[in-house]
Amino acid sequence: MTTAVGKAKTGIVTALLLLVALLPATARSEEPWRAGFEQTCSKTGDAMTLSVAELNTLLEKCAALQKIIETQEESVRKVYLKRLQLCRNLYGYVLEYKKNEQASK
Amino acid sequence: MKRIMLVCLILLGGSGVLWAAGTKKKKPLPHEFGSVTISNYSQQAGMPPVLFDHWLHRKNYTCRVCHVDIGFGMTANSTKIRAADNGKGYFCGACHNGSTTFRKVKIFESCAATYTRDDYKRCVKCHAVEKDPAREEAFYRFLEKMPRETFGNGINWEKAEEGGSLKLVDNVDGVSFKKSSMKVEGNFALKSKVEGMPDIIFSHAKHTVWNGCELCHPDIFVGIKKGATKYTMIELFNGQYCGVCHDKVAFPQTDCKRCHAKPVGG
Repeated sequence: MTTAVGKAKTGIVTALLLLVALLPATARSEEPWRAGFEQTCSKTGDAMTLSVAELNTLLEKCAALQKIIETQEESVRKVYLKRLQLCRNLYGYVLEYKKNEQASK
Repeated sequence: MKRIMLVCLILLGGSGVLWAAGTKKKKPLPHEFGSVTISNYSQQAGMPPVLFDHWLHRKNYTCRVCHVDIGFGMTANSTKIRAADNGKGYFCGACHNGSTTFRKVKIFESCAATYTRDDYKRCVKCHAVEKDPAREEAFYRFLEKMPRETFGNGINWEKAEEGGSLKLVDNVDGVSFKKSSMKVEGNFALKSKVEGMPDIIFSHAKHTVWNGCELCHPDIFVGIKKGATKYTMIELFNGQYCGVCHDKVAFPQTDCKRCHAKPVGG
């Protein structure tokens, strides 16, 4: 009886592990850095309305995120470093624009 | 002697012209315009290269979904997509995963680590062994319903969207961010360098609706101050600046009036 229960438990655990392994990466990996990434890079559409201080903060967050993404597996690294590069570069670009604007006043 | 020299010169000049014409890039047919051959790892895996049709994806999604949210590069073969990436739900696999739907139709699954003879039929949907007449026919059927344009693939995509023939999706579940409403920068004019040629009217609104901001700035357009960067048509035809998209996927730069649109003296 106990062996049957044990086998059933092992079966359930194996099935759960298989399910986790087969789920798409985007669905299973809700690591905290992903929420941080979304929060940081979802402001690109508003970049021109952000202040110099806000842009500097976002750039600091991008630098921290880069360190974390660099430790991820190859596919995640490839996708998210590219996405991070796009948003970080835009913030840097807008920051430079804003600083120039301030200097010319 | 002079005659011999003249004949030699004409022959030399003629052969030069013929050589130049022979090496000139072949103008793609409407259904081929914007097609990209992706061949980083396919052949090593014993598969034909991927023949990617931009029009087929462009009719459903904005540029930024693929080139920002999913992370595809802007030049062919720059992304180095592997079957394993697709299998994990990245790049093509972000949509082609067998579960994502587009207007309630399931999108076929992309790469798998192992495949049967039956699965192989699915593989060759993208890893095209040879030209597929069905793909060509599908394009011309689609073209019939679209507003026409003289150049490129013969479709005026801008009018198609404005007129409601296309309703582009700007979001892929589990990949795209929830976006706030975008603050669109204004249009501006760029002075033409050629006497009599109308100035360029650049519309930020038209470009940002499909591309967002980060696709162009600063990677393609690095200049901060308006007018500081001087663009030449040679650079553009060499694939820089506007030439990153125009000529390859967006309407060709030989369609001068689409950009040089400001009335002279206006």
